[in-house]
Amino acid sequence: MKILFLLLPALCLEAVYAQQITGRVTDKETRAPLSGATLKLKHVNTIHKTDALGNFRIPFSGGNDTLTASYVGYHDVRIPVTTTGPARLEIRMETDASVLDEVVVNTGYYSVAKERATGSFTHVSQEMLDRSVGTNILQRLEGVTNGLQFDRNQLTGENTSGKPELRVRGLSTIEGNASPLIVVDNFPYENDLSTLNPNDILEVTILKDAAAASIWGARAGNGVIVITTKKGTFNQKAKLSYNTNFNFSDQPDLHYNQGFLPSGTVMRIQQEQFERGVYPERPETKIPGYAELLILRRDGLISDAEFAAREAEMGRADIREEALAHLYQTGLSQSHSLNISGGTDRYSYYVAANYDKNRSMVMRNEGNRTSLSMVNTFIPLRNLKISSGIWYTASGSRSNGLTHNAVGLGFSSADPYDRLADDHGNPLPITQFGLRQTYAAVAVDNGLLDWQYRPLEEIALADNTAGNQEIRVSTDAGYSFLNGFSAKMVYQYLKHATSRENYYAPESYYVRNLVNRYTQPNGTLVIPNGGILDRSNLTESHGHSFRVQLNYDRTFGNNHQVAALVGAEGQERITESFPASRLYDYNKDILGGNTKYNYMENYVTRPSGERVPIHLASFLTSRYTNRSLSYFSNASYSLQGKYVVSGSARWDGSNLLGVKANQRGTVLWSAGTSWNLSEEAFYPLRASLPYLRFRVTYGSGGNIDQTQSHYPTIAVGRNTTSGLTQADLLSPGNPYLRWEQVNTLNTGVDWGTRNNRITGSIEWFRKNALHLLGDNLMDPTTGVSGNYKINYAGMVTGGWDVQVNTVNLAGPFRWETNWLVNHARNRITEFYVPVSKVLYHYLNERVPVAGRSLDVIYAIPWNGLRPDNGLPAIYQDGELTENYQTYYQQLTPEDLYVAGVRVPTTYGSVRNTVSYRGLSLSFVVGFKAGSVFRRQSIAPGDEYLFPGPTYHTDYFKRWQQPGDEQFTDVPAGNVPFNSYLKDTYRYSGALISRGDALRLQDVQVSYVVRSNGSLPFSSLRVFGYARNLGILWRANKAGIDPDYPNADFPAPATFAVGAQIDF
Amino acid sequence: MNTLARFLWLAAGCCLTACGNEFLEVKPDQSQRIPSTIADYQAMMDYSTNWMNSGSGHELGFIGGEEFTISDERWDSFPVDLGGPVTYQKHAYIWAKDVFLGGETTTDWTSYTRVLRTNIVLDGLAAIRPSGSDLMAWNEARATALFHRALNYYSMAQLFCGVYDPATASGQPGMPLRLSADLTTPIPRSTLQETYDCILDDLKHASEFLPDMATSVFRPSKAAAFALLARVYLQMGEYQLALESADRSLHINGALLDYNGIAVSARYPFPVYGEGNPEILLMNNLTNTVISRVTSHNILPSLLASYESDDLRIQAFFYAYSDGRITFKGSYRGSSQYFTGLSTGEMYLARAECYTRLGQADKALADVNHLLTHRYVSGRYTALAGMETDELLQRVLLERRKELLFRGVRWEDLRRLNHEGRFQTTLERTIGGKTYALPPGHPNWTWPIPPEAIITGGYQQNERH
Repeated sequence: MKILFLLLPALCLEAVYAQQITGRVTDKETRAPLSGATLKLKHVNTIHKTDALGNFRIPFSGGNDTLTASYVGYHDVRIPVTTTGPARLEIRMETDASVLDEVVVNTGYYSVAKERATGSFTHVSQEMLDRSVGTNILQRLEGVTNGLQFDRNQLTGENTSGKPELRVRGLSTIEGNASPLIVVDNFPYENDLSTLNPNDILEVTILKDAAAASIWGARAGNGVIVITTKKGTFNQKAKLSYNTNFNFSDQPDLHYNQGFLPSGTVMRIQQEQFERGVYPERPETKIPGYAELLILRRDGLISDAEFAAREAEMGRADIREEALAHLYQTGLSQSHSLNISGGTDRYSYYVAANYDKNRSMVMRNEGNRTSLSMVNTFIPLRNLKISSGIWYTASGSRSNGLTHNAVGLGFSSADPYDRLADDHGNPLPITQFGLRQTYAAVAVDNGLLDWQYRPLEEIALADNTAGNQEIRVSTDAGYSFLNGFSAKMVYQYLKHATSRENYYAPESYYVRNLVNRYTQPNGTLVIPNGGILDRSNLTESHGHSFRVQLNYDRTFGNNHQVAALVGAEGQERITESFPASRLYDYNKDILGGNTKYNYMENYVTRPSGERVPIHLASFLTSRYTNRSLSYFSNASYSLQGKYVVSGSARWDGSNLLGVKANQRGTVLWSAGTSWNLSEEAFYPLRASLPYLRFRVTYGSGGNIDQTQSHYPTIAVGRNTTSGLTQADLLSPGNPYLRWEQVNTLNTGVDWGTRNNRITGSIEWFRKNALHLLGDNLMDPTTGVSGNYKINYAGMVTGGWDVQVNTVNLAGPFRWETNWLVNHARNRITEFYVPVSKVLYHYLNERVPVAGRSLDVIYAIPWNGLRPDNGLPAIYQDGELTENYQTYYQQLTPEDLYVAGVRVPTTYGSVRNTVSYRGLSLSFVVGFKAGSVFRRQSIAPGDEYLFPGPTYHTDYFKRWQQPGDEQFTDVPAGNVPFNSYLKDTYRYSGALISRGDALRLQDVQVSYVVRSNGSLPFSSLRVFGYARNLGILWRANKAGIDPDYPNADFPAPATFAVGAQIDF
Repeated sequence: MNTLARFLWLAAGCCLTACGNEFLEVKPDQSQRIPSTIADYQAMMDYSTNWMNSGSGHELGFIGGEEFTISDERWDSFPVDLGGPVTYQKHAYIWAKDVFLGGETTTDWTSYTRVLRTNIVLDGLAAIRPSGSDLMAWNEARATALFHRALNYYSMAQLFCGVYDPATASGQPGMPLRLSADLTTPIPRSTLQETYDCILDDLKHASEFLPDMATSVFRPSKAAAFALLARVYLQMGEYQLALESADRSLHINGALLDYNGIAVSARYPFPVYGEGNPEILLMNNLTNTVISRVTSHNILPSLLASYESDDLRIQAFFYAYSDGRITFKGSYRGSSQYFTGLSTGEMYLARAECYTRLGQADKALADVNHLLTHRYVSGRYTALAGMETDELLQRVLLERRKELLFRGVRWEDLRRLNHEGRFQTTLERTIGGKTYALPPGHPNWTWPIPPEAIITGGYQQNERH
């Protein structure tokens, strides 16, 4: 260390000068040092910068001169200097409100002022993140992030709060992972983002084009979301901040789901079925409750009066109301966050503790998350900065509730007249699939345990818990040397573990059912009537990431600025999973159970008599190792602040299985330039449009698919039946495999009018994806099935990102509007292999066809209903026909028409913010356009299918008599079920609806009180926030929320109140 | 901390010296590898319950064979969406001209995935030069792959090719014969003669190098290879060769299970996966074909009526549902899945048929009597005697129906017997009052090739109407 001290002065070129000016540049208000501020003497043509502590040292030859200090976002400061001036200058700079919007974007490798970047970035500030409430950071980006689209097409059932699919500027892959790369601080983050506490997050940057993203290389083809966490500030006295909010969510709108028919209708259908003798009266078949009632009457087991009474009771019941009363509640999530930050001139710290507690809208489902973090930064030597942070999160959840869908335990859900509790609140049984109620009800008489399933009892007995823990430790050290050089080393360790435990009480249906099923014909028990404890496979991942980077940043003279970096990084992530366990006869009090059973024996089971072994917990273990290694570089040169050129190159490699060594990696690059027209001397619009800048970039990103291989690959394991070592063929190998590549061209213009009244940007992009991998339609004769991908297609995605911010009213009463309009459309450009000719593929899957979008939805042409019988009119060879089978079987993909695309091509939002002193109100109206979706409906005979009828409220819109065809497209119901007729209808144009909609996404009100010293805090912010407030307008007439076309209900509205106090 | 230190050294070393290849050399998944050893290839053939010995290519014949019927209600409500399009099973049930709509995920043609595995194993083994001590393992792995390849080509040929006739086989289309793991070479349909030649070649090689008896019912043995050879020769009308093969198989293993010793009334009387059942020469099964599920089918009444009252198979094979349906429960798989493997019982009947056809009635009678004493209630079986050749042949063929039902064998027998001309059968099924028939000699005795294969492979489609 001493040697280093001795060497340091020798390295400083300035030391040779006899005289020098020294000093420090700080923020006038916060006294925080301004690192990287520019200092220039009027008569000397060199530029100097302050170091990490804001210190500077400038050679001075004497005489009188003027020193100008400038820093982005601050007013310039000019100070006369002489040889006889003060020994040390303290320069305090004042922020410039007019350029307060100056944004510094962080790519994860370097930070750059947005105005000097050539690439396409979307920056989401802390203020914008704090505007909304939600425990997941992704939620807070929706509607305020330019170019980021949330697609919820794939959310089905009740999973409306599930993870949406993210698209940054549309698609650029077909079969590959289409979601953007997520980076937290320095390295890619592979775990679920719900682990991160949004309160710890400082800002988010979206890297959209090649110049922005290619620094991330082979995984940046879909864009990159860079999340930066909070750190302490130097020279700031301790600041304590407390933030809390309570977020209430509505009960779900169960009446929204159209896949439903009311009790009376269903009973009428079941009566018809019963009279036709459809229900097989045997122990292993579930018969609907109303049919059981009819059987009782038929067999003379109940009087007509009792039948009538019970029938009337069923007719009145509505399972949705039952569910709302017994299964759902108002959800409430609360969040508390406390942090302290501050620092001296050589040390800064940030310490935070957060706690979230979430009570789901499903009763007895809850979760909590605790996170602790601490970040310290030291400057032990003038040129050395060491920073170290630790983030710890532990979260747990209990999922003991039942949803409306789950009440029926799988395959066929409950009937609409089923009740969960009687009038006194006592739990009632619901018939289970695979078991007839009359059989279950007499189980006790047959020497078995009670075999009835009462959902409400199960909720009370359930004890299912899950937990996950994450710890992230990161250390970085930066050292600056010579003039403009700095070196940086970063290391990060991340460990993540998840576990799940289910306990089934002896009284639970799960245990009773298992005991009964395995009760042998002679009455002996195989499975004891005790508790069962299941622990699922514990999974753990460990990741190490390491990076070295050399930066060079220097300004030459007045006009030349160079910034460059080169570096290398390596990552390793090991994911392991450990055996699961099951203890039978588990006693919760003594924590003891039993595993000594014969798992090889095939026991006779009830009621079907099938022989099956008893369940053994999965003892599979796995260990995956992902390693990657990259070399990267990036450079930019700026001339006179007017012209910027930039470029980057990167090599990426990973430990792919089954590839030749020279195919482990790929090289990616980018180049860009920008021209700040408004800085030119000839620029004529300086008064009205003082800022105008053009940018162009081009470059490549990539995408990898680790499941593909050049050589045949196998997975080896043990066959539990034969006991032999077995190997599955994972891939037959594809020697022609190569990496996917996405070339992006981006052009943009940024402008600002006088006083920044109207600012914004318009960007046009074109992403040209090459060598896209996809499931080849292989000749099945080759024996290749599934998972065989080849580089088979090219795709172009083009579009616009427009952002306009207007200050409509300035002054104490301020009104701002922010417009975001995004447009992205993809088209398959080439397709090297045979295109599927199979109708089923076109109607159910995504078939890439050259010249069309990958998101296309196809439909069978719809000719309306026939006036004579109310069935779909179909034509064969120009003749009206009734043979749906031949019609459907002879349909070819050419007969289908393109009904539209699945994902909106145009989307965006308008955010209005009005503020007066401390009070502010803002709301976001989101819009989506250009998509269609396929509705559900009911085909003739659908309601009569047994098991598994299909119900839909379109039942009531069915064609009844000639003339109805003018009002309805729902076919008549009076013909038997015919799968060809059903498919002709359900894939037809009649069920295609436009997805365009306008929604009130959220509303936020806040009030800020700043203390002038008389209050015990420095500032207080109270706020209210409401989200998912509903649709203002929609194109479809069916009452469906196009954002959730496949879900049972749209995401319920939430209402939050909260406060933030800074001391 | 040890791993951390190691990682840091490695990472730093790599970053600075660019020796990245070493760092990237590690396998991503411990259990995954590029197959390279004899054990790897043997393990690929032992991928038994999931692939090699499951989902066998007998489905269309099983559905199209006459052994079960379904009710009009079941027909009407089919298909319920159970994942993947299965409407083709309905078309197969009535022998319709078009069977596949396209988009079917698993069909009998999927047997080619097993062929691919055998080809990867055969190519891989060919690249290994076994040393003395490895030679036995190398031979057995290779013989196993050849056996499976023959088994799959034979099963598919019974569905997608015409009936073998030595006079015309060289001019008839056979299966596309993929004999290497190269996926890129287009291969047209071979002739039927080439297909059978290939099957016989593979089986002869296999029978030479397989062990007499296998250590697992999932692995082929000499006994199984001869049994399959017997089946193939019988189909080809080569009765002398069939006789020799069946005889060699029975010579290795001729054990029979006495049904008097098992609980025939149990819901599934035979052990799961044939464990301990001495009759099983190779375990193989048809994954539960949706249309013939035990919850919906009825046994063909005439088949049911052919059992005599003392026959234990009535109890062992059939289950009466409370709704009056009689269903099949006697699978040697020991569950609701159907056994399509090879058994000693089949060999006794194959040998008996050959003896009969070759004029050795007394030996045929001995085989039939030996088998049936294990099937009837002890002491209640009256041994057959003194039958004329024709009468005896009819009886042996009837015993085949009664013994080998629900194994996909009936379809193969119907095809060869209809072709032979002496024992012709017209299949009939009635749905919703309409009767569908498949008379002898009708082109629909050969199933159509799935459209995906026709489109991408350009094969000649089988003619049907």
